[in-house]
Amino acid sequence: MDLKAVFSPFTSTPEGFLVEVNPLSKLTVVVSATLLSAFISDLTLLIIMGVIFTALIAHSGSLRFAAPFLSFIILFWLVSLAIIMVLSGNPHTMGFLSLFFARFFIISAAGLSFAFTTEPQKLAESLRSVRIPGEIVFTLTVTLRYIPALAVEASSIWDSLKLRTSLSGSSIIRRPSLLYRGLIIPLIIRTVKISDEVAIAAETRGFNPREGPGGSLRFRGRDITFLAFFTVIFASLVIMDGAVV
Amino acid sequence: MDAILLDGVSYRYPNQDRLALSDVSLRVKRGESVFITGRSGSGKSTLARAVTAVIPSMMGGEMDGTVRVMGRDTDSLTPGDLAADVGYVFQNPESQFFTLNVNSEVSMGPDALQLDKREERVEDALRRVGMEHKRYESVFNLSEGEKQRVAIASQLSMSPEILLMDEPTSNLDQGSTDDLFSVLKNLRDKTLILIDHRTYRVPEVFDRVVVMDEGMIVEETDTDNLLDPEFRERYGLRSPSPGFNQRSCGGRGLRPSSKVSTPPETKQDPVLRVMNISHTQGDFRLDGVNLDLWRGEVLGLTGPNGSGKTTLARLIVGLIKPEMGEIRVEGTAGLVMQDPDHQLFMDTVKREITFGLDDYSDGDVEDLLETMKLHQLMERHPHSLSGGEKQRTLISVYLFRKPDLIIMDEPTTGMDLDNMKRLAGWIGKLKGMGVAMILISHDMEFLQMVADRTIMMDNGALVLPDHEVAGADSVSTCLR
Repeated sequence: MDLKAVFSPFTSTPEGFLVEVNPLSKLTVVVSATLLSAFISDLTLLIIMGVIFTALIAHSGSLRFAAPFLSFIILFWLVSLAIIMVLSGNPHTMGFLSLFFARFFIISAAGLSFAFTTEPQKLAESLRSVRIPGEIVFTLTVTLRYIPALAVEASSIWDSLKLRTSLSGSSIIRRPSLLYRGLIIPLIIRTVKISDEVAIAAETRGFNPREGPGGSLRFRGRDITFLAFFTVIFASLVIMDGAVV
Repeated sequence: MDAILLDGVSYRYPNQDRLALSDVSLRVKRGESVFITGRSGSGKSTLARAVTAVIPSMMGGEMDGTVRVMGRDTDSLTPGDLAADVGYVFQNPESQFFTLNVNSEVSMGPDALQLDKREERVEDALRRVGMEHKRYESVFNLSEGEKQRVAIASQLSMSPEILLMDEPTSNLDQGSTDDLFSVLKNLRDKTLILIDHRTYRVPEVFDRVVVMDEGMIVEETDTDNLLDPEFRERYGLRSPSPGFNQRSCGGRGLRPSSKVSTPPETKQDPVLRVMNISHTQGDFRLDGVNLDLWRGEVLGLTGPNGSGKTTLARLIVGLIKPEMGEIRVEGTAGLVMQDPDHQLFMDTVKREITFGLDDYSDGDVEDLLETMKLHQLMERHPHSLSGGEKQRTLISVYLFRKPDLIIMDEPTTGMDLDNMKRLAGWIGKLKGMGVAMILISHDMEFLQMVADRTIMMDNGALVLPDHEVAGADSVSTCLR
C-alpha cells in the first residue's frame, strides 16, 4: 500500500463547493456524524451513512486518494469477520464487529472529507470567528497542516520496514509487534521532530491565531444548503433507526 | 543601523551540557550578503534561530549576550514579532506551506500581519522570484526548485529587510540551484544570509563568508577565499566549482563515452541487470531503462529533481513492480534512504542490526560492529547518534544481510566535507568486499570522489542509451 496516497488532502481539491463551505459547517457535520454513528445500531443505516460520506469524498475529487485508506478498513473488516466465522461462528460477535468497523469507517470517511477540503488558514479564521481560544485554534490548524507530512513520513518508514523485514499481511498477523515497533514508534519520533519545524514555520510567517485578524469567514448560502442537506439525512436516519428498533 | 548585531552571545539547549553558541559576536550591515558555513554541529542553525528569536522564546535554554535585529533587542520578542523584519526560509519548503495554492501561500504573511497593499505585495514578490505565471497553481504541482522560490516569495511579500536561508539548496538539483541563485542576485536590496555546507556559486552572490566551528566564529573573510583550496581544507569546506550542469547536458544530449563500462575479466554475470523496464506513477513515466552493474562497481546516478532516480531505486529493490521489462538481482539488494530516521526502529544499535532477522549469531553481530567501528556505540539508541553514525549503522544493517547490491539515495544531503570523506572511505571498503553500489546524488563533488562511472536520468529515461553509460570523462564534458 502506498501510504502517500492515503493522506494527500492538499493535493486533490484546490477548489469546489466543499472547499468553499465554512469549516465550522463541515466540522459540525463531522461531529454530528460521529455522535450519530454511536447512536444508530442498525448496520444497514450505518452502511448508508458510510456510502454518503464516501460520495462526499468522491464529489470533492479526492476518492482516488482516500480509496486506499478506506479499502484498508473494509479489508480488515472482512478479514476479522472471516476469522471470527472460522473460530467461533458466533453471530453476536460478528454483529458487534460489523457495527464497530462500520462506525470506524464513517468516522474515517467524514474526517477525510473534512481534511481533503479544508485549508488550515480557513479553519483558523472560522474558529476565531466563534471565539475559540487561540491555543486550541493553533493546535487544530497545525495538526491539519501536518497530516500530509505525516503521510509522507509513514510511507517512507513503511517502505523501509518492508525492505528490512519482507513485510507482508501474514507476517503482521504472525508478529503484530512488527507494526508497533517498526511503524508506530519511528512515526512518533519523527512526529516530535517535525512538529517543531512546522510550529517554527508558522510563527515566522506571522501566523498567530491568538492575534490574527478576526474571523472573516461568514456563513453563506452554500453553508445553509450543506447543513440543511445533512440535517435532512441525519433526521431521516434517526427516524429510520427508531422504526427499525 | 545594523541589520543584525550579535554581541557575546552564548546559548545552551535545554538538558545539554555543551554550549551550542559560545561568545559569538557578529555584525551584519543593511544590504550586506553574508554566507555562514562550517562543519556539521558547528552552530550555524542555532545562530539562525537566535536571529529569528526562535531561541530562547520557543525552544527554551539558557542564553547570554545581546541579539539585536533591525535595532530591536530580541530578548523578549517571539518569531512572530520579527516576521516583518526577518524572512526565514528552511531546507524543506513543504514544511513552510500552509495553504493550497501559490497565491494564498504568498498572501498569507501579509494577511496575518494585516499589512497594506496585499495584492501588490503578492504580485511584486512573485515577480521577483520569476513565479508570477504560476500564481494560481497548486503548490503541490510545482517542482522542488519552484517550491523553494515560492517559499522565498512568501517571505518577500512581508517586505522583510533580512532574508535568512538555512540550507535552501540541499534538496535541489543543479539547475534549480542556478535558478535560486539568479533570484538571489536580484535581491541585492535585501540583507541576505545564507547558511549552507555547499558553497556552489556563493562567491558570485555573497560578499562575506563567516566560518563557524564548535559554536564559535573562527573566520570572517571575503567569499573569494572559498576559491582557495587551502582555505577550504583548513575549515573542511566544500568546493564552489560549478560541477556537472545537468540541465545543459540533458538539453543537448550526452554523447556515449568512448570508455564504455565493460564487465570484469572474470566474465561473471552482472549483479544487477535492468532490462527495458517501464513504470507509470501518476503523470510520470519511467520508460525503456536498461542498466548492468558488476560486482564491486560503484555507479553514480544523477539527474534533475523528479527525473526518476528514486523510482528506479524502488523498482530495483522491489518496493514497486515494473509494468514491462525485467529486473534481475543476483543475491540481495538494500536501499539506504535519504533520511536515516525513517529506517531506525530499535532501541539499541545492536538490536537494530538484527531487526527483522530470525537466524543470526551474536558473534557475527559483534564482529560486524567492530569492523564498522560501531562497537562502542552498540548500546546507544540509534536516534541519539550523529547523522554520520546513523548512516554507518544503516550500512551495517544491510551489510549484515550480506547484500550483493546497496543503493544509497542522496547520502550526502546536509553533510560537511569531513563526513563526506568518511562516507567515501566506507564506500571504498564495501567496494573492496565486492558489494556493488548505486549512489543517487546531485552532489557531483561526491560522485567524482567515489563513482567508477556516472549516468544521468532525465524525464524517466537514462540520457545514454542501453549499456553505453558515461564514464567520468563524459561527465566532465558536461562541466561548465
